[in-house]
Amino acid sequence: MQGAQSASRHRGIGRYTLSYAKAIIRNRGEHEVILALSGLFPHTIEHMRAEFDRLLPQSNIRVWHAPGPVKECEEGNDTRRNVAELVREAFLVNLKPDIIHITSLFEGFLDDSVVSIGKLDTSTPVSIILYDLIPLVNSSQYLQNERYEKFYRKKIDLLLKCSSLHAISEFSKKEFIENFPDCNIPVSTIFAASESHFVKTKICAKDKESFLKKFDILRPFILFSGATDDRKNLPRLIESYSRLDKSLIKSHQLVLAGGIPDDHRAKFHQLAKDFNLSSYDFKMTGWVTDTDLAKLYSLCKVYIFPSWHEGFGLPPLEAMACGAPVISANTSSLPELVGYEKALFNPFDILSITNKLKEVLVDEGFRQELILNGLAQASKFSWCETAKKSIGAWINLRKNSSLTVLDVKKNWNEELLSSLPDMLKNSDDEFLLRLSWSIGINNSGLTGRRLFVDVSELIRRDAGTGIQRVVRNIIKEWIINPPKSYKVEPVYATERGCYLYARAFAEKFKGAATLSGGDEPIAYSAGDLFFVLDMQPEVQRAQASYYRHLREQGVEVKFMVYDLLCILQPEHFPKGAAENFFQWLKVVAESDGAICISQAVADELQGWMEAQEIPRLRPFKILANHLGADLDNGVPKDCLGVDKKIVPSQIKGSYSFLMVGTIEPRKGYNQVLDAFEYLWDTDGDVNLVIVGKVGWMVDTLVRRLRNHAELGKRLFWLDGISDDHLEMIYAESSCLIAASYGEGFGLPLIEAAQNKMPIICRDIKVFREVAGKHAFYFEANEGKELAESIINWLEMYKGGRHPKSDHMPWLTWKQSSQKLLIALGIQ
Amino acid sequence: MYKVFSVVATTPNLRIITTQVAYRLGISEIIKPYIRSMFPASHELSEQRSIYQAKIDLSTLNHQARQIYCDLKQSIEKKQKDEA
Repeated sequence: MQGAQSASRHRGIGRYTLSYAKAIIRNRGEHEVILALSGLFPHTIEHMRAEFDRLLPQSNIRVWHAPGPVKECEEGNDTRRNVAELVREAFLVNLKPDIIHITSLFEGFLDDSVVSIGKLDTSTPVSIILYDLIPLVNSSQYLQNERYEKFYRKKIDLLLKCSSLHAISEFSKKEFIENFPDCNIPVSTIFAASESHFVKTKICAKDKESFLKKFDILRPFILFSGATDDRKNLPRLIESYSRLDKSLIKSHQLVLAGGIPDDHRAKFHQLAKDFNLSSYDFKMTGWVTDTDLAKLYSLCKVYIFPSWHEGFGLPPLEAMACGAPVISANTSSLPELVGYEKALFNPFDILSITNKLKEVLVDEGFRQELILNGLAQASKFSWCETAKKSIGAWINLRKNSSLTVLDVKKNWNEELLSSLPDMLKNSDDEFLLRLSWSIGINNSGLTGRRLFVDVSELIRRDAGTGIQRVVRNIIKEWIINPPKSYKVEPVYATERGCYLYARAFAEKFKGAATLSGGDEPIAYSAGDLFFVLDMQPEVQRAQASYYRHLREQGVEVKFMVYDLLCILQPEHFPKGAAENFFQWLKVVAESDGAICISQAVADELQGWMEAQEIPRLRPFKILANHLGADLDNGVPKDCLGVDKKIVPSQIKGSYSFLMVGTIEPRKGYNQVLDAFEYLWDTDGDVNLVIVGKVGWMVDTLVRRLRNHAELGKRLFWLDGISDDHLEMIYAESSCLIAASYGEGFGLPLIEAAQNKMPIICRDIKVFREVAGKHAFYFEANEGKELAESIINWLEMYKGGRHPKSDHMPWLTWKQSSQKLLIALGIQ
Repeated sequence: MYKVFSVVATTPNLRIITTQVAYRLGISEIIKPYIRSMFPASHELSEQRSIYQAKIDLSTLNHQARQIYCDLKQSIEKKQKDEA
């Protein structure tokens, strides 16, 4: 696919390569298509992946690497290029292809394209698209540069080594056979087609005027589009136009559409001046978009293409498809393309061009004939037909029994490594390192798919936070019950700019005996999945380019998003937290998608993405997956703090309301405490039990709790207790109060439901999602309002009319982990 | 780390010529206008980066790549020794 990656991507060959490859994929039937991209054009890879995103699995787009630069126009690249040729061949043959197809052979002089045939792999048949032999046939014009000539002739040698040629026109095929009469390579004609957006564009009179005005087109016009090198024959076109009757010139402008180099532009201006043409008569639009080009084709009085040598001639085909009357040269591929002898002229004869122009400008009947012929002729060319012809040629090629069958058991890496040392005698260590990295990455897809799970924070310290509980439980489930088609690999970030396998960590989990080896840099390949489960914003921000690289390699990168509270409720977080989180979220937004722990968070993330208008080439998928809620038995825990497992006796006797969660402003502790102070003042027989560690921005609250007159009487604060101990507290409490102003999920609600404990919670979206009808909701701005809600609830509770949580649905970690795999696209 | 500018220019015969300037990161903004001024505005001036890992050392190579490096190094040294 290098033709669509090199500088050619801006020209016809690049467009041909893309359209052709898409058509092949659409028409592949039972055949497997793998697109090979070169890592020597890193800035094109994401674009290429985006182009084929909905057509082909990303795992079928593979990127090979080799150390560059390798371009032939510069001296000193020979060793690198020779090495790269072997490396590329080894990469391709390791894919075990039946056919290797090269969409553009003549790349690599000015860019880092690498093409070779039979340097390492002499078995796999190679087919090549044959566009034209213009430099060979017109060597005095095109092969003046000695270095370029050497390069071009080497490419011709390669052309003669292939197994099959796919010519883009009958002329191109004929030209090859005439130049190489002794060559017995089969040549098929596959043709080309115009893009589907080149169709007759309807445009109203008002829009037509303003559209044409922007190109300074004020009269009916004669249009040419395309490149401006010699064979395009533009000086003769300008002269022929100047020979028209004065009245025809005054009533028709000559317009050249497309980018024109400055020196050509100056030359054409001078020519026009020499032929007494005014600046109104002759116009050059400069580069135009495809949309504008389609409009120009649709609006022109006549389209003229005087080129005397083409391999195919896409512009006249596009013009015909847009309903333009087309006249063209009667040489090379153009007669078969235009398919109408009356539309042709001799491109070397000024009079012939002038006469044909005059004929179409004055004879409306002839003009209409050309339009009808053009539309009929254009409909004969389609990418679908081109693809079918290529696929047919490949099938025939494989049927050819004289081909050597690829030795699938052969160790191509050994073959490669034994070929290299002779070339590398004078190479420095940096080159060797880059080469080794390249070969390593080129081969890393040979061992099956991997699911990398980022456990960067957990591996450093297990502080027992909610996120770490999630990471612990999910990684445990996945290690014990791995998905069938993936190998689960816990990994962690390093300062070296790469991720390492967390194998020592993984072995702490039971059933992890199969994981072995040290903590070394990970090997990854197209089709792998990298899931950033753990949250370590600063470290992950530093890994942004690494994730980008993984995606370029075809590894899908997805993040777990726990909440967006830092940016949605910044007042509840320390200064700077919002900015840090914002930057982290931008890294998330560059990836392939996010799994949010609730639909509420998924909606918030979607809203944030839309508001940020983050530019993306490929879609970003957002899904929600609820967390598990069974206690994490058997999961290794490091430091869950002091755990004396004492349940205060007072809790058992009264109406005890439990709050669970870190002591932080967002959790609403202040408001609940206000409410309970009101209840205690009115002699309410109620206890408030708080289970949570001290968080941030709560110095005043902590002082208030520690010095509270009711502490140890009707107010209890248990700091740093284990899950087992928490379960005992749940069992003895009457009701859970979840007063949080914002949550990602709301695990305590489910823990309460598991204990059949009633729930009073603030009326926020995520609590509605998790608890549904199984909770009592309050809306309160002040403590007194909340106290009144609690009193109301108590009345209902005493009469058994309160919402019950007994049948509230929830997932186990096993269920949650399995659903998470499905959300990640792993069945 | 190096950055590379590619300047692609079209000529009537060769169709395209190019020049490349590699420079250390940090002086790009100084040198970029200078390179730009060498070519007409219609010519493409594109900034390219080399492969993502500008900095590769032994510690960033995975097991397989490290093995390849060691094998290559050993073979080259042996070859050099044999030739000497």
